[in-house]
Amino acid sequence: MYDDLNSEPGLAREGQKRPTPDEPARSLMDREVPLGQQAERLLAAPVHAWLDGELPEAAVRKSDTSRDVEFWRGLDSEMARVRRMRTPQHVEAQIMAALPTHAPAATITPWFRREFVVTPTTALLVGAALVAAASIITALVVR
Amino acid sequence: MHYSIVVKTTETTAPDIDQDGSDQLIIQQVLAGKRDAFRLLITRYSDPLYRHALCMTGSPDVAEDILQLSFIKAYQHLSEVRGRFDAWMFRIVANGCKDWLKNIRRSHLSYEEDDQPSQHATPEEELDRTELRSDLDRALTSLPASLREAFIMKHVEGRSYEEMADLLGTTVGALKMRVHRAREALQALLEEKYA
Repeated sequence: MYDDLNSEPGLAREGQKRPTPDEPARSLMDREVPLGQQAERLLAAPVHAWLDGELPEAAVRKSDTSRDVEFWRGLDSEMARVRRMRTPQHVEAQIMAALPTHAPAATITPWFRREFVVTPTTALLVGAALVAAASIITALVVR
Repeated sequence: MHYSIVVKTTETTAPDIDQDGSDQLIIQQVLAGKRDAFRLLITRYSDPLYRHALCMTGSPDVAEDILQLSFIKAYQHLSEVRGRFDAWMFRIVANGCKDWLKNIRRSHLSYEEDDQPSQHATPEEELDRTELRSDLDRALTSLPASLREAFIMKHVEGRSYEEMADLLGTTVGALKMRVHRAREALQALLEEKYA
């Protein structure tokens, strides 16, 4: 007996069945680690839809799914407790104390990738400079 | 080569720390040297991030450590934030949890009770709740990390599938599959006792 270390498609040994190209590729999720010995129990699609907020509770309060509804209602009240949990108060102070004392380093970006901020003042100054330059050049050419 | 020109209609100076400021404004303040402004981001986002870390790891101490390391990392790389700070921060914490889970094999850990007053009248009811709590913790920690993460984001954090897909960089269909599988596994683990 040996471990099969070639279970990935394309790595099959000679003589072993390779997956055909038209077999749909299985996503990583489908190949995830099995959940142990505990057999999964299939939930009815309407129960999933109710838990996803797509169906009202009345739609799944039928005899065959009522047990599931009761189970998830019980579990939800426990999860509501988790939803109320807050970060312990000392954590914020702990984080602030552990932060570096200097300001975070700014990423150095080349000038051509930086933002050019045009404020009204800079726009006026640039405009005035252009007019002045144009008039100087004109005066030099005309002379 | 790309660059952009931003036109500002008013002159602005570095603003004082503003409690209601946008994340982007706070980030600018921190980058400008106002270290204390970072506290606002911690206050704003620590609770949901702590709950995520707590549910993923099952340990309050580990959740605190992950939160602390994540915020320090965020501070150091604050200038690299592109888009929403909360989504960026969530990814740092979620990756921290996954790294921890990869490295640690835990046998038995459960989180502490919260400070909320009990709503269960009798000691028997309270005992039942405590038992459900630890059974739920155990069942959650027995799930593969990706299923646990999807289940927590959906049922504890109350996120939509679209938001989850955005944060985790995967598809809505894949996430629905994960949540459905997590539900079925949890029900299989717990229903004998609680159904």
